[in-house]
Amino acid sequence: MHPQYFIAGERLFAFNPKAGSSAIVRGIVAQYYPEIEKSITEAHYPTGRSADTDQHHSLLPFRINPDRPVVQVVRCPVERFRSAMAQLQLQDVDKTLHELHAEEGWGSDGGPRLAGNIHMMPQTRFVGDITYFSISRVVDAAEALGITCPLKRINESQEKPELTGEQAERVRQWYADDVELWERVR
Amino acid sequence: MPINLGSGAISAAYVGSNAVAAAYLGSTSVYTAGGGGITPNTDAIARLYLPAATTSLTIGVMTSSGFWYMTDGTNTSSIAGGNYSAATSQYYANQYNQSNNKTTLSGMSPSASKVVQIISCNSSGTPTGDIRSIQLVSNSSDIDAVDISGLGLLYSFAAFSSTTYSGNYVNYNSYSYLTSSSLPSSITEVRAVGTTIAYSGTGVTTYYSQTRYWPGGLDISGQLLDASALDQLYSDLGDATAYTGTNALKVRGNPGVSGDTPTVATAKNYTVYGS
Repeated sequence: MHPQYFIAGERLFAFNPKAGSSAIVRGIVAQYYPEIEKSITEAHYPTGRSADTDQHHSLLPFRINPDRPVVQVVRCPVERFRSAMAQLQLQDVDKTLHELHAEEGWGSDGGPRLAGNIHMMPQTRFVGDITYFSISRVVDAAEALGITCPLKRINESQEKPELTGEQAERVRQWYADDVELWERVR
Repeated sequence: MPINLGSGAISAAYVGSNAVAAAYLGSTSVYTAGGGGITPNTDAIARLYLPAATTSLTIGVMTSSGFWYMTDGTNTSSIAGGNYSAATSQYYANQYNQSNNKTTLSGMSPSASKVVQIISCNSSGTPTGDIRSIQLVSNSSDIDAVDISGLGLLYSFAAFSSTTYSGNYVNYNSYSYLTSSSLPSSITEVRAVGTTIAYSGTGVTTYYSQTRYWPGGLDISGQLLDASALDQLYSDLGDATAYTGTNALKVRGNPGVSGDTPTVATAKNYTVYGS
């Protein structure tokens, strides 16, 4: 799996879903890509949506090999797992954990392997000269990327599943390296 | 020089006239712009309307059965496909770069316009399954009009012209690995009666080792649809309310973008870019 790094001027932003990426991507568009900014702000949206509610990851240039300093936002692995489940509309925690371990397909049509879904992939997969920020410091991460405009809150997952202590421990075991990173960054 | 070329009045007068279409079938002298040129079919077969000068066609298609072919009634392409995994129902955007999901129909007559049918099939060529995605940007010769009516759910349709994206605009389109086009600006009409062009999902997924974006939608930037043709397309499209992807309709650079009515599409949960 090649990690993906969005280009933000002299920095790269590590694309780590469920860790404030939509807000920062929106900021990168506004800061560095005026043509894209124009296209999304002048678009016609369905009622209740706008350039500040939609995700714009697909519009940004990116690299798969970092060639400049990287900024990454890190989130508590258990909280990120809960948010990923909500994002993917998964409700059964045990089934989700089983599919992760067994590398089975997921979804109503038995689609791609859950373990290969970018929302479920470890946060420790990025390489390069990385400066880490905990998700509570996402504004600082944006500042490190040269973003001067206020961040928007985009794509906040709803209805996150509750985990038992045993389930949370299984999540921590699955994401052991992420837990170690989180303990360093938090 | 074809007679009546550019006459919107003639086009409007004969909108939907099968008799006129039949009388002039194969004629290169009939104006077809402005939404009056083709009669939509709803038989789950996509159709491309080609001028006489186009004798070869190279496109990419993704189907639920994994295979497809095209024919103009005289010539038939090889069966393309094979990247679809029935076990996991994976489609993904790889058909744009994988040669085995593209094919070429060649040897078409230079003396008459023609209609090419795109047909979903199994590995033996027996029609089955549904068309899920079509990209015309691998083609380098003119296409006059497109009929994607009756396809039910289409994930994406890419027909942006070769002049559409440059500089930062290269990243303006949804298909992150589909950023260049050989397609001329030639399409005057796209009909999509009852076809919903959308995708439900997170908009981000992975295929093999690479991240792919798959927001779903249509990109006809840089083509030649006038306002009435754009409005006809918006009106044709099926309701995308049930689909959580971006459901983008990208129409930048078409001559009708200053006079169209994008609210017809936004009311059906599409986002219209470039209008």
